[in-house]
Amino acid sequence: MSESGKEEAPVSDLGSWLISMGAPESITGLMPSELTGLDIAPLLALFDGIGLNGSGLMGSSLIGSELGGVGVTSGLLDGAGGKALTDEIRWLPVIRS
Amino acid sequence: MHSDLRITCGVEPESVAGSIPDALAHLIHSLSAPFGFFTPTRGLLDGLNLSGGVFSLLSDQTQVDFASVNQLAQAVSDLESIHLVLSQIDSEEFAIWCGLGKNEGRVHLLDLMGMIDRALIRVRGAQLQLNFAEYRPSPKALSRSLTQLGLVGVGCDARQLQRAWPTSARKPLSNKWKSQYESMKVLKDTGTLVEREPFIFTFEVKWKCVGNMDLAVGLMRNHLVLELGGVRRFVELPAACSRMEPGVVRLSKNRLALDFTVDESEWPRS
Repeated sequence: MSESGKEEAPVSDLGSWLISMGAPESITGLMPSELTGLDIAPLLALFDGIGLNGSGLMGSSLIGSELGGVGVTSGLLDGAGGKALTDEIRWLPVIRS
Repeated sequence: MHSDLRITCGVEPESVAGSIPDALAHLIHSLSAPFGFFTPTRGLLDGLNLSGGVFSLLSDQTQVDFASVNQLAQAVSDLESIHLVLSQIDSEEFAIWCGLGKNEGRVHLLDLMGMIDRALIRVRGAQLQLNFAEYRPSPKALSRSLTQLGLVGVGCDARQLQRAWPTSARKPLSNKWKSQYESMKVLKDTGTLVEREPFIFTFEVKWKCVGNMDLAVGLMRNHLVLELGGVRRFVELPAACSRMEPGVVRLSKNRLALDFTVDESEWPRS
């Protein structure tokens, strides 16, 4: 409950989340509404569940989560059947003829 | 095919969007990092400048102004990069996640991807008007910018360019440059995979004069990345390429070719 006695609305869209993380309110005017309105509630719920805050997200490792009794483990499959955290652009040698 | 969009290059926009060059990149990184299936390809979002016209291209305006040809090319490139990141987010796992949570996240994501698709079609069909009243680049610099523009799929009418070129100052465009501008073509080819010999395939992309360009070529999951001075174009590869080993890129006059080798042990043939 906030000081005014009203219950604070949960942050569920991207624009509100950015502002709650310290971004200026003008950011919503600078981004397409389709983007600021992106519903990130499931992500935020997951963050709560694993104890991460916004600043702690970068570089986190693969995560499996439970939702509705169904385990969801995600990641990119590598050639050996394991999971790689990320990939990158692989620049190739160029030969001119 | 023409769209209703008119773009002016060489005119500073009246109102420049606020500067949040890293905001969207950080935001997508933040959204994506906790999940393996969200992780965008590293380097895909590097160097985006979202204050440089990306939002203008996403708007419904029928007239959009860019300060330069290069800025327009960069904005189209950035828009395509964002689209690819969003498509990487849109995985089967994400759909299940949203479905289980009865969440509209995927609907919003698809809306945004559709919006970018429409913006890319619109800008590639736009009428481009060049204006050198305020600033005139050197013919060489303009040639490079127009090549970048061709790389991202936007064409420029060489006759309009010649009319816009100021003849009062210094000297008019030489025949050499006129000829070069007229010969520039937009990259339209989506590429073809051909079997050269058993276990060796070649992915070919045709683009006039590609052999003269200082092009960097890379691979990113199922896309070929073509980069010219920071401006990128992504060409989707056939699914089979993901299971083959890439070799070197060969650039000839009007053709780019990348060999792929099949690992025989992985793909046994009967």
